[in-house]
Amino acid sequence: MAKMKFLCDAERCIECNGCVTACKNVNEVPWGINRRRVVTLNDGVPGEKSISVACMHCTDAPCAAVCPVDCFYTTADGVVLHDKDLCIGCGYCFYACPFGAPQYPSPQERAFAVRGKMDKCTFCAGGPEEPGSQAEFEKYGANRLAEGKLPACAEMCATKALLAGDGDVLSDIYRKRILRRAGRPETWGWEKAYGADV
Amino acid sequence: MKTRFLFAAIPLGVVLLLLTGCYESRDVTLHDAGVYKGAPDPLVEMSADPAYQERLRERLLMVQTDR
Amino acid sequence: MKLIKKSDSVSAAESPSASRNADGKGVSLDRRAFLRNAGLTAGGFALASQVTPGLVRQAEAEGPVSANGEVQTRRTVCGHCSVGCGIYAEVKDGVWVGQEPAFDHPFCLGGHCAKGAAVREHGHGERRLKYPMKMVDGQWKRISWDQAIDEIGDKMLEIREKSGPDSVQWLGSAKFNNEQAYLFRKMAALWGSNNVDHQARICHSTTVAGVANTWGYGAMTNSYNDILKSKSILIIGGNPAEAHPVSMQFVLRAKENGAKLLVIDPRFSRTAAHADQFMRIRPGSDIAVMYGMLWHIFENGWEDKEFLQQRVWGMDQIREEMARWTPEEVERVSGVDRESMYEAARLMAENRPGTFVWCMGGTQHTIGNNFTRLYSIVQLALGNMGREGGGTNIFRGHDNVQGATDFGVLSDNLPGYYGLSEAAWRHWAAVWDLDFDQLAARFAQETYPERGGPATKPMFTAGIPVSRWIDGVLEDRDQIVQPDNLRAMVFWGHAPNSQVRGPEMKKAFEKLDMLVVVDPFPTVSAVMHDRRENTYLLPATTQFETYGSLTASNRSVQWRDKVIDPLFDSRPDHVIMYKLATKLGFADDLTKNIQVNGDEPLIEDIVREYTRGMWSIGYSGMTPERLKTHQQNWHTFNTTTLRAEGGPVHNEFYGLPWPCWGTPEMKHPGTANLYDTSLPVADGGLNFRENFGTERDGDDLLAEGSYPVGSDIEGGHPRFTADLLKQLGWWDELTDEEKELADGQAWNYDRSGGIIRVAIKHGCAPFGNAKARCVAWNFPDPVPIHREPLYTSRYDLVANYPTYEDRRGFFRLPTRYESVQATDFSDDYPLIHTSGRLVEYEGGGDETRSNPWLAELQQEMFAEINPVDANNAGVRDGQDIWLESPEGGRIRIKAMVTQRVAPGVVFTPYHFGGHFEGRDLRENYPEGADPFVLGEAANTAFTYGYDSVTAMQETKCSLCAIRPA
Repeated sequence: MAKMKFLCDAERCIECNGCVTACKNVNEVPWGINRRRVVTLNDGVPGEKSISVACMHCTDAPCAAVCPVDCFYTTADGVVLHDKDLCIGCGYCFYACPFGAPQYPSPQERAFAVRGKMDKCTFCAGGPEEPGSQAEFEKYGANRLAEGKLPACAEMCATKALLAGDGDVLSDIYRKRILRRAGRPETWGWEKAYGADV
Repeated sequence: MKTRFLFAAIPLGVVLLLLTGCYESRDVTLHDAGVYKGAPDPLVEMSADPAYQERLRERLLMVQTDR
Repeated sequence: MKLIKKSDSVSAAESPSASRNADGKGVSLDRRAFLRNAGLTAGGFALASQVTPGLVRQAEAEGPVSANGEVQTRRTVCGHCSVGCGIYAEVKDGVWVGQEPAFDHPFCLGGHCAKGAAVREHGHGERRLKYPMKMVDGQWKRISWDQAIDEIGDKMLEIREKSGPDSVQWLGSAKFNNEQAYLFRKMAALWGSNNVDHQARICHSTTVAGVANTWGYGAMTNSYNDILKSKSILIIGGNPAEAHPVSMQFVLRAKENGAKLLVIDPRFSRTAAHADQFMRIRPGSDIAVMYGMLWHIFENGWEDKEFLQQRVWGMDQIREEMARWTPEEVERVSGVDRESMYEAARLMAENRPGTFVWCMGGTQHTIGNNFTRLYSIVQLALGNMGREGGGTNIFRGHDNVQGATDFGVLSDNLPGYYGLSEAAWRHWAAVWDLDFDQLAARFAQETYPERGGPATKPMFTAGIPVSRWIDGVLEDRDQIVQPDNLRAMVFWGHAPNSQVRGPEMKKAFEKLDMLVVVDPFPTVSAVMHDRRENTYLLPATTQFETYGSLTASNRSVQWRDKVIDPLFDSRPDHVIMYKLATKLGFADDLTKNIQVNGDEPLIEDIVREYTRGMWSIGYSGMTPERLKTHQQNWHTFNTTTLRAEGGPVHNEFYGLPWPCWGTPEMKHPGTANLYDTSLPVADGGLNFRENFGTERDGDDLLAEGSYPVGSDIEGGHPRFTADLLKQLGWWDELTDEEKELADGQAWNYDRSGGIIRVAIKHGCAPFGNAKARCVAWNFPDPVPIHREPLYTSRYDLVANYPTYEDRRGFFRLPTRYESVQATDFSDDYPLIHTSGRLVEYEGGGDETRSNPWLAELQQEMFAEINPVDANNAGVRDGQDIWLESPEGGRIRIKAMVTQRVAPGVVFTPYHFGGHFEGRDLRENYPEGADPFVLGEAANTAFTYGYDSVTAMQETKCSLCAIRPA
C-alpha cells in the first residue's frame, strides 16, 4: 500500500518560493493564507538552510487526535484531509501540529468560501466532495490526485528539492541522491511526521 | 361499575405513560472519539485502488526523472 | 473554480486596495480591502476570482483535461528570466484555466521559481493598464487608440521638424519577442535615429562588449544544462538562487555529481549558502580578485600551456599586470587573504573542466568591461573554453534580453552586431529592400566636432543609451553631439526605476515635451513626476497574448504559442509599432516584405526577413517551421547535451542555439557550446573568431595547430571572403546565383549564404580561426586594470587606482569620471551601497508587484545592513530608515539587520517603485492599475558613473549613509 509523503531535500532547497506560488496558482489560495511556506534557518550566515513546509500528512496525525468534532480523515494512501462543514475553527489542531500547517482566516473573511474554518494543504487532494467538482474546488482547492497528478508544489519545484508521492519511491530517489553526495541526510521533518524508523 | 373501571384504567394509563417515559431508544449515537464524523469523500475509496496508486507512482517517477 | 477572464470593461469605481495601516507602519496590504476590490468588475460581468470562486472548472470529474476537447493546451515560455522555462497553459473558452509543469521541457524539466509558477495570473490580473490614456491637466483620461496614435504621431513629427529625429528617444524592451525586437530596431532606423536602446545596456552590455572583444561573440558560451558536465563552478557577482532559480537545478545536480561550487560575492547570498567555498570581497574589487587567482594559477603552473600556446594571444601582457597583484596587494584591495585566494585557485585548477558564471555584480561598474574581460582571461588560462562543462556561462537577465541584444535594440548596433558602419547600413537596407540613400536621408546630417563628436554623421555614430537619457534631456545643448536635446521619450516596455539618479530623472521627466509609455503596466514612468500634459499610456499585451520566438540565455531560440487573446483594450507590441509607423508615414517601408493582416504584421514573415540578414551570428538557419517543430518536440532533446535523440529533429540542438549557420537548407543543428573544436563546424563545432586582424605587434593572431574536427585547413585562417575562397580554389564550389551576391563580399555580408556554405563544407568556421586575445587594444584599458569606483569607500586607493579622465562626446554626451572622484565622500557617506534581486520580483517589478501571488510574499522595500553599521547608526531591525546618497537622492525604507552583508556594505533590492523620497505615489496611477506593492526605488539613491566602453551604469558600488527615519 502506497503512503503519500512530502520530502524536502534541504540540500537542494534554494528558497525560491516556487512551491508557494504553485500552490496559490492551482488552489487559488487567497491573499493571507499560506498552505505552504518556505522557512529559512540561519538566515544570512554560513549553515543557512531553507525548507519548504506544509501539512506533512502524518501517519498518526496529531491534528486528528485532538479535533473535538472529528473532522479529519485519512485516505487509503495516507493523505490527511478534513471536512470544513464540520470544522468549528477552534484551533486545537494548530496547537497539536508540529509543523504549523493549519491556517485560520479571520471570522470576517472567507477563505475558500468558508468562514473562519481551518484551512491547510490537502496534498492537492481536495476534500469530502465529489472529486473535481466545483463545490470541492471552492472549499478545498484542486484535486490533482484524482486526476492522476501529484501536488503542484513538488511538481513545479525549481530544483526538485521538494518531492511528493509514494514514500517508498521518495526514499529510493533520496537514497540515490545521498549516495552520490555521501553527506549527512537532510530529510527535514520525516522522523517527526512518520516515526523514527523511516 | 363504570367508575370502578375508570378507577382501574387511570392508574394503568399513568403507569403506561410513565413506562413510556422510561423507554430507551436503540438508535442512540455513541461518540467514538477519533472517528471521522464528516461527509464521505469518494477519494478515500478511489485511493485504495491499486490502479490509482500505480498511476500516481508513475507520475512521481516522471516528475522526478532527471532524464 | 479557476480564475476566469474578467470583463473587458472595468468599473470606474474600482479603487486602489492597499491601504496604510493605522499604526503608520507603512503600506501593507489589508487583506480585507484586497478581497473587497480585487475581483469586482462592472456591468454584471463575472464576479470572479478571489471573491466568489466557482464558475469555470477544468475537469469536472472527467479525469485528464482535454478529454472533452474543451481544454486546449498551449506551449509557451515563462516571461521572466533568461532560463526560458517551458509551460503548458490550459485554455478553456479563451480563458487561461490551468498551468501544468512541462516535465519534458529541456531547460526546466517542469521546474519553476515563484515567478514561473505564478504566470497564469497574467491571464487574469486586473492591475493592468487597460486602455490608451492621456494626462489632461494632471488627470488620467481614457482615449481611443486612434486619438492616441494621432496625437503622439503629430507631436513626434512636430519635434522632428523643429529639432530633428534625434530628439525622440526610443527605449525598447527585452520583453519583446525576437520579431518585435527586430521590428522595433527597424522602426527606429526608418524614423532616422540611433537613439534607440533597451535593458541590455544596463544589464550585460559590458559582457557583450568585453567577451566579444576577447574571442568573437558576446554571449553565454555553453548552456545551463551543460553545467551538469562541470567539475567546478565559479559564480561571481551573481545570485542564481534568486535571479535564475531553475539554473540551480543544474548547479546542484552537478554538485551532487562531485562538482565544487565556488561563490565569490560581497554578499552571503542564497547561492553562497550552497557553496563549497564562499569568498567575500569588497564590491568593485573583482580585478584584484581575478589577478589574485591568476597569480596562484601561474605561480603553481596550473595554467593550460598547450591551450594558451595554440589558442590565446596576449597572456604575457596580462602576466605583467598580474605581477603587481601579489597576495598582499590583493588582500589590501579586495579583503581576500592569501590562503582563501590560493584555495579558490586550487579548487578551479584541480577540478576541470570548470565553468565560470557571472551576472550583474560583474557588469554594472565603471570598469565593467575590464571585469568581463578578465573573467574570460581566467577561463583561458585554465583552458576551460570551448569545452563541455567549461565556458563562460553568463546568465542574462530578462527572458528575451539575449534576443533583443542580438536584434540590435541598441544605440550602437544594428541587428546581428553589424555595427553602424556604412557597410552595415547598406547590408540591412538591402535586406529590407530599401534604397540606402533614401534611408540615410531620414537621419540628421550635421556633425558636431566642436562638441566632442566625431566627423561622421549621426547615422554612423552611437546614439544616446538608456543609461544616459536623463542627460540627453538635461545636459547643456551645446555639449550634446546631436542637433538638440531629447524632447520626447518613448518607454516601450522599460521601467525607469531600473536606472540610477532618481531626483535628476524626475527633473528630466518633467522637462520632456512628450512622454509615451507603451506597456502592459503603467510603470513608474507614469507616476514619478509631476507632469500635467502630453503624457500618454498605451496598453501593450504580455507575451502570453501574442506569439513568436525568444532567445534564452544559452542562445536557443524557443517558439511561444499564443495563450489567450489580448486582455482589455491592449494590443501586441508589433501591432502598435505598425499603427505608429503608419501615422509617421513609413509603414510601407517597415513591412515591405511582411504580410500585414489588419494592423498586425505577420510574425512568421518577420522571421523570414531577418534570417536573410542575420548571417553574422547565424540567426540565418532558422525558419518558423523549424522553430515550431522544436517546440512541439521538447521531449526528444537530451537534457544534458540538448541534442535531439531521434524524432523529427534528430541530432539538432534544442532551439537551434546560434550560430545556426547559413541558409535553412543547410540544416545546421545549431551550436550548443561555442568554440568547441571537438565537433565539426557542421555539427556545432567552432573555434575562436578572427575579428581583430591576423597580426598584432608582429605576432600572428591566428590559431596554431588548433582547429575543429574535420577542418580542411589544419590551423588558423582568416575570416572567409570571396577573395579567400578564390585563393583557396574553392570559389567554383559556389553556384552561379551565389557567386552573384557573394562576389567581393565577406562571409557575413554575402546575402546568398554561399561563402558560409562552402566554408562549412570544408569543415571551417566561416568567421576564421584565430586566437582569443587578452589585450583589447581598442579599449580604454587594453589590459584590464583596477580603477576605484567614482564613489569609493577606500579613498586611500584612489592614488594607486584612479578612474578615467572626463570625456566628451561619449555616446553623444560629456561623461564625468575624475571630476566626480576628485571629492572624497566617504566621511559623510561611509557605507558602500550595492543592489541586487529578489526571487519574487523581476526588473523594475511593475509586472510582478501587480501579481498578488508574488506580491504577498514580499511587501516591503528594505535594506540589508550589518549589525555593526546598524548599531553605529542607531538603527534596529525592522525600523524605518532614510538611506541617503552623496548626490542627494534619498529613500525611506525598512532596515533588515543581517550578517548577510559585511560591515560597511548596504544592500537594497531594485524591484520596488511607486514611492519617491518618502512620498507614496499610489494616487498618481490610473485607477485600478496600481501594483499591489509599492516601495522606494533603490536606484533613486544610486549615483553617477558609467562604463568606459558601453556606458553601463554603476549600481554595484556607490556610497550611502543611513539614519533612523
